[in-house]
Amino acid sequence: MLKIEKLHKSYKKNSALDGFSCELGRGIYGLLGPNGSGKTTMMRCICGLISCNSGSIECGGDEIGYLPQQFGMMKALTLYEMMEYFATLKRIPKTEQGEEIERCLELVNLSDKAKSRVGSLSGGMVRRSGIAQAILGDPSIILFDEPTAGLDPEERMRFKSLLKKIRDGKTIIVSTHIVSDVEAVCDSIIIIDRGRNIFTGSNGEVAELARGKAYLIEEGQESRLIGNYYIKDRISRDGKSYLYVLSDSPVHGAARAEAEGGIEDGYLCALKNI
Amino acid sequence: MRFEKYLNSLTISKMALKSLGKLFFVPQIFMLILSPLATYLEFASGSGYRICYLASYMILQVLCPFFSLWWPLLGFREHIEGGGREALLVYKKSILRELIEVFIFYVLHFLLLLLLYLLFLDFNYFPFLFIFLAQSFAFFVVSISLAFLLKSISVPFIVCLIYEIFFMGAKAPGLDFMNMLSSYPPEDLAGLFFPYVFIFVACLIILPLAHLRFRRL
Ligand SMILES: Nc1ncnc2c1ncn2[C@@H]1O[C@H](COP(=O)(O)OP(=O)(O)O)[C@@H](O)[C@H]1O
Ligand SMILES: [Mg+2]
Repeated sequence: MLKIEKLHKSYKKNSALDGFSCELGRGIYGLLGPNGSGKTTMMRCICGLISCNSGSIECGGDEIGYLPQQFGMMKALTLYEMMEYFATLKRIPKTEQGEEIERCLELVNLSDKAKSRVGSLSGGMVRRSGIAQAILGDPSIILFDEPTAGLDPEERMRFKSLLKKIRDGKTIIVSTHIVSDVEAVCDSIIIIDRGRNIFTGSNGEVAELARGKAYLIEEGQESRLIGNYYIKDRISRDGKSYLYVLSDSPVHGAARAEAEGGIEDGYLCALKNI
Repeated sequence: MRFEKYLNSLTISKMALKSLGKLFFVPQIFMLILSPLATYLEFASGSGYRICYLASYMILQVLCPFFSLWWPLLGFREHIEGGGREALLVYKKSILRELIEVFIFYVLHFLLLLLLYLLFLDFNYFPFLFIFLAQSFAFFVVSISLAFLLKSISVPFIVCLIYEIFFMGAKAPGLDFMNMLSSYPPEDLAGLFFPYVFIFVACLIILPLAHLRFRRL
């Protein structure tokens, strides 16, 4: 259980969190927002790295696992030794450490690198070692800050299946600015923009935000657009160029996009206030 | 429970020292091998007992305070600077206890060194022990404080090195109040007692204050 209420945090004049509230139960939550929207700041507040100016966070004294946005360390140690160090910090009894470390390395598919120096691992492997470190000791709240940054497509898929494996009885927050990272794995999506929680709902509910708002218009006809709109994409079809537009008011003479873009469109509609 | 906490903290200190790899042995090599060796060579070159005694004092004066930084700074460098800092801070809010454990571990080393000098060469440096302790503690506190403030371990090393170079022999009038080190064994030991107690107490106060900055990102 994690309850965040009216969180405010500003750096000098610049406000990073502006009354962020949300209530999280068990499950996987996708924290979705553009760069600079306050995702990292929120995670740092939850795990007590920075104190907020006002507001409250209740986490019921649960253990927290955290993968920071930047993670890379202890180059001189082997991966196993690094995990041992984290296990000791997390006060996992010595007798259980070996098994627990094996389990976590197995989950991130790094078992065969246990004896390699951390300094010799590739960027994606270091990222995965960070994920392993966060899930070590089976904490009940896990925060992943942009876990998929630097992972290749296959590793991203593997991360999603890892989430499914460890999800039972936990609150997991995955922050990202890439919609496809949270698609099909998160139970709920929280959209954050300029430090505010602008939408909370399931995958379906996010997609619903864009229902009937996607249009295809021919390029050069932008003048037809009225109200709030956002040009998402350029598409060529039958030798012609089309614009894939999200608009809150009907666009005359334009085709409704047949395949609606799902969560991504919903996310954009929430962000652009469409 | 309390005992367990203590044991955990000792384990962390041990692992931090282990993470140093070969660098762990540098203070030991300097203090337990090179400095006795230098004394021996001094003897071998035919210098008198008094000269050797003074030369060894000077070597101790250079090495003892300076190497008090080595294990704490390098061992806990990941907690102080670098990419793993943020994750480590979540699981370990304070490293003050571990730093002090490592410092005590260091103190045991130079006690051993002084003992060796006493046993093998009959050089008794124990009257100066409180001076060495205060100096080492001051170097340790200043470097740790700088490391916390600047999130860097190289700056404290440089600062302490510069201090050693400039104040070792300096007897500049007006500056001697900040000159802890001396190349000669001080004669008026009793008169030094209070200044060094003052340094020690000041450092005791500075350390927790600086530690307040440790958790700033
Ligand atoms: N240490 C800091 N000092 C000053 N401003 C900061 C700091 N950290 C973050 N910010 C500002 O806070 C806002 C939110 O940042 P952040 O939480 O890192 O966003 P995100 O993780 O969503 O990209 C940004 O405008 C950023 O410039
Ligand atoms: Mg971020």
